[in-house]
Amino acid sequence: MSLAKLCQAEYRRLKKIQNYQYLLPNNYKRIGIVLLVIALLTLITRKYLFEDVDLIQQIAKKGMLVALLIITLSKEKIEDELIIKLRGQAFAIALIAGVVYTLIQPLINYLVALLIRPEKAIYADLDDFIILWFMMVMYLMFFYMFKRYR
Amino acid sequence: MKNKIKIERAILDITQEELAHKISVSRQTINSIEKNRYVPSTILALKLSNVFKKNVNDIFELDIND
Repeated sequence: MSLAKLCQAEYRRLKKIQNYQYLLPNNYKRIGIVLLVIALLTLITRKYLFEDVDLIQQIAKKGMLVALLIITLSKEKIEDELIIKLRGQAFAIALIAGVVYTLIQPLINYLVALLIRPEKAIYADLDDFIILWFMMVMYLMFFYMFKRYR
Repeated sequence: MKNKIKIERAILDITQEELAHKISVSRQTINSIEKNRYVPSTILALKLSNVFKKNVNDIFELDIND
């Protein structure tokens, strides 16, 4: 295959990925909210209702991430070009905030621990759940704020 | 960019909601365009020009800042 044909095939593949809409229909938002409420209630009541608290906590946390992702990717009732623009801006802000939070929060935690209990202060990175949760919550917060003041 | 959507809407005597429905966007999007907070795409501008039966240049005009 010639280089030009390879480039064309690559371009077509990229266009296919680019044109695909990575969004779910609007009614998925309700499913996401219900799932989020169930995951939250499970996390709150896990100590009183279940024996294997750690396993339930792990499942509830993953459920919460899936629920947030579903809400994040659900379309609005009218998904017009302004909404798509606001979505892109909110995604960019959430990504930047996520990276800054991942880099700075462990340092803040360490410095606060040094001030309060210096003997127990250990530098530890944030876990993946906290980072993903933070990014999706930031996205939702900014998206709905932009939407409100559009 | 400035636009005359509010005037054109008044000529046709249609609400923001009705105009939004005609071009398949939300009422808030029409409001944002009217208040110059959002510059629509060429597709949306052409849809508006179809509704108002006027050229795009008659509805939208460049600002000093553009």
